[in-house]
Amino acid sequence: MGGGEPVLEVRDLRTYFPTMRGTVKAVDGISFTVLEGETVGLVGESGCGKSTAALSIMRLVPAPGRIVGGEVLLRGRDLLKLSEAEMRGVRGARIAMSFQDPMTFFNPVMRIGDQIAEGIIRHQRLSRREAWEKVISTLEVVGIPSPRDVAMSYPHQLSGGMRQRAMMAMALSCHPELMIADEPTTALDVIIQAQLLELMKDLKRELGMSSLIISHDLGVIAELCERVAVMYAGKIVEYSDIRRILREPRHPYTVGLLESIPRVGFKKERLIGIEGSVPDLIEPPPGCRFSPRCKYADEKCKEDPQLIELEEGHYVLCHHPVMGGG
Amino acid sequence: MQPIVKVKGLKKYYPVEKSWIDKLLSRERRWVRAVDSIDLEIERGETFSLVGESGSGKTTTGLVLMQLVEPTEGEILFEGRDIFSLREEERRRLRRDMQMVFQNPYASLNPRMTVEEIVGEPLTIHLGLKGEERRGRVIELLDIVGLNPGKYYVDRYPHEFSGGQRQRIAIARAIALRPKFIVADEPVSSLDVSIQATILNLLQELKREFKLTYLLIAHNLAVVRYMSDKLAIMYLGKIMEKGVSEDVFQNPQHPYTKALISAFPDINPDVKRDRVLLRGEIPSPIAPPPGCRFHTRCPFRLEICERDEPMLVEVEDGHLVACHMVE
Repeated sequence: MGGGEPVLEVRDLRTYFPTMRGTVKAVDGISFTVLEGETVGLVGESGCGKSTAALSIMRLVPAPGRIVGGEVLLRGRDLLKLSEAEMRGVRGARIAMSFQDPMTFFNPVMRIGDQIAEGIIRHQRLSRREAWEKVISTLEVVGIPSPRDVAMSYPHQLSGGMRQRAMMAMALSCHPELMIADEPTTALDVIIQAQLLELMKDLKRELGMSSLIISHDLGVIAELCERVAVMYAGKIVEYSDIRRILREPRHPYTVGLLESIPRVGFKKERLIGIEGSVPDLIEPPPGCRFSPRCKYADEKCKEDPQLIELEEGHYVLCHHPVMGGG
Repeated sequence: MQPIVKVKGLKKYYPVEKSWIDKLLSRERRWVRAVDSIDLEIERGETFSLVGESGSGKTTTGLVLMQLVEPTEGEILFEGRDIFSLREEERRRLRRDMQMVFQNPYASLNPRMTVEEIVGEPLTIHLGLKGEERRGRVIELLDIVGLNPGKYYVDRYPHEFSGGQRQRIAIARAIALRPKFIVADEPVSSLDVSIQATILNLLQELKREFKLTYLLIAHNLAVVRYMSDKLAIMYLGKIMEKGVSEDVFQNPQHPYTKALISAFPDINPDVKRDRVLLRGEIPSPIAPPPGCRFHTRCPFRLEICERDEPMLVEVEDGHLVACHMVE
């Protein structure tokens, strides 16, 4: 897979939130692409801007947040230049998004089937009856055992795993060109998470869809994605194919992140972790934003680092990339 | 050697509220069987983990051990004494030896108390410390948990701290009375991974330094493997498998344990594995399935599993499994 045409190209995207204390630069100049049939991961810890990046692509940034610069190209066309009416034709139809918490995503007083049908009726101009047939078949695709019952249910009547599947069905119902999944399995128990991960891999194989997965969990990203962008404090600090990042991480933050994760397949070795905490995004540290927590930081790191291509397709935003896999 | 904590036949049932239909038809009261007869032995100085999905009863077990919930049936011996037959005064004394760290440091710290008050409260209640003496002790504790210099943090309120720092405050409070035993209920699951590692390391250091015994309650198997000496896998209020942690990880016997281990997404790109995928979801603890509670989801179930409840049997030294397949 990969090597196809770009479905999504994000170029120098900036999304800022004005606050009383100053401007929070939640997403500060990120660029990446998702190719046809490819799954790309955006990984990072809370507050790194990964969810804001996803919302920016959908143009759903909550006020007072604003996209202040950059381009979001869907098959070459800049979504940031579309009118709001045109954008409504993109959301749900060409790009669909699923969220971490399906309980707050679904309308609590509407049947699941009606909610999924809404998008189908709107985007595909089908009758209600035809739309419901599609709802049932899509619920079947996401592995729901009794789709008719689930379609007739209200959100609170379903378990967390079922709700997540129903949300995925909603996202898939209009055959989007790109699917964005924000923390698709975070709220679930491991057994249910494994079921969902297997489902997502199956869907990817069968539908050949392009997707962007947002997660804090490198394990989830490693299972689903071919390429990954690691975010820290509003910037992409490392970007490469997943195997290379896991084997030979070059950014000190990625190295630290990998050394922080205990592995179920290994016996204990000491975890290292990263001391300190994420910087204030109103007045980020000058130069490299990771430098206050970085053991390799020196004078040079007070200047902004440039994204450099260390080897083909492996980009790092760092003055002192780690050699030899850390 | 006598185990520090011994749990015998522990049950905790919660009553289900009767609906008006139930009352009308005078139906019998139903019970949520959160913990349904479990035995545990925790040796001094070890970390014992309780593992399971939500609804498995692991947190309830921890709460009963901390005397925060009365058991329905069963005994809990702490250093050989049954804690529920002690007089109130003795029970109070016992609380010094047993402390707890909760999952969510945003909910477990009173937002209107300063760090000095939060960490100092047990010192006042149990040791009668006040004023400068107490303040000095709190500062010392903050230094120990890595919030140094402690005097810089002691007058602040919880909202001024990050999640990881808050969990350090909660840990300082837990060790303030020099306890022997700490129940840590999902101590890192609400924290970012880079912070998780630092908190886990802190817990390990404190254990060595103060000769602590931990009961770790967790769903993250990687965290469990990193921390524990022994573990028990729980499902619907029962123990499915228990033993020395490495024995269980290297040689899991129960299908549920195998499923849990294989379900966990791993970051090693070279590991190819066959998942033991389970169908469906955890059944209701109000009406757990008859026979083996796991049979409804078990890929290997036999006829006997629907009828007879398997007993825990020893498969290797100290490694016990409750499954008809291994008998």
